[in-house]
Amino acid sequence: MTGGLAVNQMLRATLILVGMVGLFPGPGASARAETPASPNDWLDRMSAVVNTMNFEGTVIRRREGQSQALKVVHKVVDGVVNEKVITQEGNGLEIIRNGNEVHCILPDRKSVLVEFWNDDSTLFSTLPKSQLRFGSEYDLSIVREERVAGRNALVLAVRPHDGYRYGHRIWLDQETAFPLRTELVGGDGALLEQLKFADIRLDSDIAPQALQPSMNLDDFTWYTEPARPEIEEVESEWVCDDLPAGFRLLSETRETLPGSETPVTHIMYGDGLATVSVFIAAPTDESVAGRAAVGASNSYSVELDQAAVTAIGEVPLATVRRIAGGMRLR
Amino acid sequence: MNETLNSQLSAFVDGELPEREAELFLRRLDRDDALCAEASRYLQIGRAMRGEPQLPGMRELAGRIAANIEFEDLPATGTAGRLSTRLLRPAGGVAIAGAVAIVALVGLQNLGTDTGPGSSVAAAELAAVAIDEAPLYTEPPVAEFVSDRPGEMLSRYYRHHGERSADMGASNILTRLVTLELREGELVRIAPPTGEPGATEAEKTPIEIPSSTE
Repeated sequence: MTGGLAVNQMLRATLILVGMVGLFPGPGASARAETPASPNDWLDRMSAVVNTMNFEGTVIRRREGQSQALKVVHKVVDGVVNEKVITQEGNGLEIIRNGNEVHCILPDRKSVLVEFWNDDSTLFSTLPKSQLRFGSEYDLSIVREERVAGRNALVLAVRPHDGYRYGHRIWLDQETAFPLRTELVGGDGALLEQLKFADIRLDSDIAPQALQPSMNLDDFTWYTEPARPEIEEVESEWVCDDLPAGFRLLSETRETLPGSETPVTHIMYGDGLATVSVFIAAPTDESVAGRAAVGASNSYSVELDQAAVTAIGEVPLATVRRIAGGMRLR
Repeated sequence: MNETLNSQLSAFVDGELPEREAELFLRRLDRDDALCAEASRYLQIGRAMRGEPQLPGMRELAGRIAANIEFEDLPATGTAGRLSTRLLRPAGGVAIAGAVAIVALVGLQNLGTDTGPGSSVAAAELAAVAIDEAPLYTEPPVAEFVSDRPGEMLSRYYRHHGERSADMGASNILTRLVTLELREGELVRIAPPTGEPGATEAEKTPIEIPSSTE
């Protein structure tokens, strides 16, 4: 409680200080005022720093009203990402990454799951990149300054123009442009997911041992995924005639998913930040029209033209509902 | 100010507080001078960071408004009038007294003052600060089936969407954790790696997987 009060007092003091700088600008502030860095400049710096900077700290992840603490160690060696993430509560899951190879250690199951992730799947890879054309479906702006993990941060807001996509808020370290806190915000302003550093050491020296498993894995059982499905690019006979503004076709493929014998048509749409998948398959007993949600991901299923159509994405329900309902045979 | 209140204030200043909460928040601002001052400060900080000039006389004006000048008495013409309507909307017709009006006036003054090149930025900021006028999605009454947890096929779709999004650089560890939670499926057992992580030998022998990997 005392700590919380102290933090609030510090935050307040910082705000007052910053407010005073605004009211009585000194020479430095004046220089900044003439050439303020644009939000896109900040995103450029952020993109560079998340790919190159070593860091370690504690991340608090909030989703669906629940919080989870993660210890994170991240080191880049010759351009290869080495990362270790340990959940601090619950099952003690550890994720250890060396380049594309990822070991998910599940102590309570005495199991290790080996996965192969792509290069972009890092802690912050959903962050928007400056190449995205903001101004089309999203606005990007610097809104204020706050303290996060004991550091001064600028808050960038990515606001969607409509209710068909989520917004983002990013707290960037003023010194390095490192993202100290990120939030996924629903169309009604609700916080959907938050990732926030409670403490962080940037550009720190990280010993190789810090990236090793925290436990002996001798009696653990190792698993991996089955071979990934073969993906065949196709020109689908399906098209969406009611896409929300800004969504474009990204890919059309025919795939047989692991654990299934029936091929599905998989169409992906994106607006530059959010992606939506549409799966089209022959109806089965398992096909159920309706909606479901996992975290911030929504899905909506409907039967159209004797096919089971399911749209899924990290977008509001309205978006998957509209896209699924808008699918038509050409 | 506790963390919840601070978050509410941040969301309010960003124009991201849901309408009903914004209404309650505005009422609270009306009663809480310290909170109102903090909201006002947030707006000033935003301008200071963008190098926009502060408003001469604003503090005195705020003081006067605090002495119960009703917001409705202010001139409501042009852009400022439109914005004032937008700022008022969340209050749902509740008369907005001094403290609330201070926050609104910080922005209105910005629009009414020729601040040079920064003025358009200031206007944009205000537009963002105001509760967004655009229609927001409202959850319709649900008559359809709502699943609390995806079935096997839907789980497959979720996982595959996560993987393909990752191929496009749009997935992150949160999505991976979600897919991990959904992995009750078709894993295959392999031999532990003998050396470096990259040297994993896939001696693939299908076996029954653990009932849950969570």
